[in-house]
Amino acid sequence: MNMHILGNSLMTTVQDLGRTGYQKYGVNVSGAMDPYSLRTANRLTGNPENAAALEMTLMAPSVVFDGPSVIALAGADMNPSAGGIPVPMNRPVYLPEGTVLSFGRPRRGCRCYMAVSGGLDVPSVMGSRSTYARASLGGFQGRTLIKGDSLPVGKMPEKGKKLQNILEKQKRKTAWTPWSAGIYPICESFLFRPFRYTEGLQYSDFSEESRTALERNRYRVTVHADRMGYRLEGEKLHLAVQKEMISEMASLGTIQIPSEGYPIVLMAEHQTCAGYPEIGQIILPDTARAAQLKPGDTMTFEKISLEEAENIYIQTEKQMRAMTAGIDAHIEQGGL
Amino acid sequence: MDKTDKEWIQELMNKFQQSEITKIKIRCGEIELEMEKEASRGKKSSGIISETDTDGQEGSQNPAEEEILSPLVGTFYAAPSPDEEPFVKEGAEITADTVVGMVESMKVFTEIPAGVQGSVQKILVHDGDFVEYDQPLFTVRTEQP
Repeated sequence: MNMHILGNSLMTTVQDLGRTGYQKYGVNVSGAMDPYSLRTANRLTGNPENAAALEMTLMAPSVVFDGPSVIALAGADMNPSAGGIPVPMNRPVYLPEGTVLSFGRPRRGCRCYMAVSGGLDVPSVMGSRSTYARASLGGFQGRTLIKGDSLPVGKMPEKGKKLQNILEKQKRKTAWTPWSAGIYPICESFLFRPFRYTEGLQYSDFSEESRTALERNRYRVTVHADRMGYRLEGEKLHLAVQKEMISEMASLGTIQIPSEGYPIVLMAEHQTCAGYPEIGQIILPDTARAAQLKPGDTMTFEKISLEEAENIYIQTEKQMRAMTAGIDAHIEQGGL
Repeated sequence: MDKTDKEWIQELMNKFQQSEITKIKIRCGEIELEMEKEASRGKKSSGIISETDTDGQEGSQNPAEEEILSPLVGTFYAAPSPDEEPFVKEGAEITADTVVGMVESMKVFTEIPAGVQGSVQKILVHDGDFVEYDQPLFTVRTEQP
């Protein structure tokens, strides 16, 4: 079975959980900007959570499958509809062969993940199917998807078949379960909570005022925001004493301060080393949340300890584990 | 109160016991009768049957009030997300298919269909409350025949 892209969009790529182990050679991890949404979408279709799926940014293309399929959408709500019928987020959805899935404007969030049972079967490059567009690596021909592209879908796993059997029996063409799953809602009160960070490598080199300013001010996401990183606008931050730096490792969520003073937050396709001083390191669950911000949205920051950061990470993983067990239990019990 | 009245009350009590109604208040001439089941005590309920004529009519009791029970154990959510309006408010007209809330357990959110037609009289739980199996969540005033 194939998935056909029927329209053009802003930035639609194939992503999984990333290409780990090659940063020492300058190859970044890439992968989904909001990995929790990708994992949720995959689990809802019976896939392993690392299966390749679509990451659609701000504007999504219409797609159609040339066979019956079970899909799930998680992350930003882009007003999806199948054959004209509105389709809910965060649920397994059965689409009969040839049903056109289309999207409107994003109602909440910025990035929507669409998993299909069986996963997108593009070649694995260095252990991952994720697209690293700047290097034309991985994904579908190493690039953003365009109208006319046709992507192979892998073999449907047992859980996917089970879901298909259950949903096919409903007397509707497009059908979904009466339950949904997710560890957080993409909504204003969630998206605009402070972004928590731990001290960066050069935290103590920043002036007292700058350290306080980062916590007290709102920063706006500028239009220079993509999979590599977000340039922010707001109160300028400076080192106490200017100093020359040797390039150091950079990571997902690093808050760098270049000499002009405006912060840059590094995201999934970040460079592997950077030469700007690093004031902070946004914690992983919050970088996923940052992935749902659009240019113009604001960010505030809150410093936490490494212990707190680890604790939040563990709690989030526990929630993901509980969700996976919950989804599997529903599928086992007949899906309803 | 004569013998037929006593028999009538006895019959009414038996029928009430068998029915799914938890509380009933009847006024018929001089007789005023109020019955409440043990299990429903402590819950606020304003179910009033304005007029019931059960005389010699089998199964004509139409419950004026029904409860929507939780299908599972978990956290009750009144709205699809924290920033959205609740699924239903008190006074809302609902059909059997109307989704009235969600219960979350293990990060899976299960929709609760009303199962009855009528208007929401009282919401018995708050957003974020932990609810048990079969815990009453809403009272619904059902249509009069």
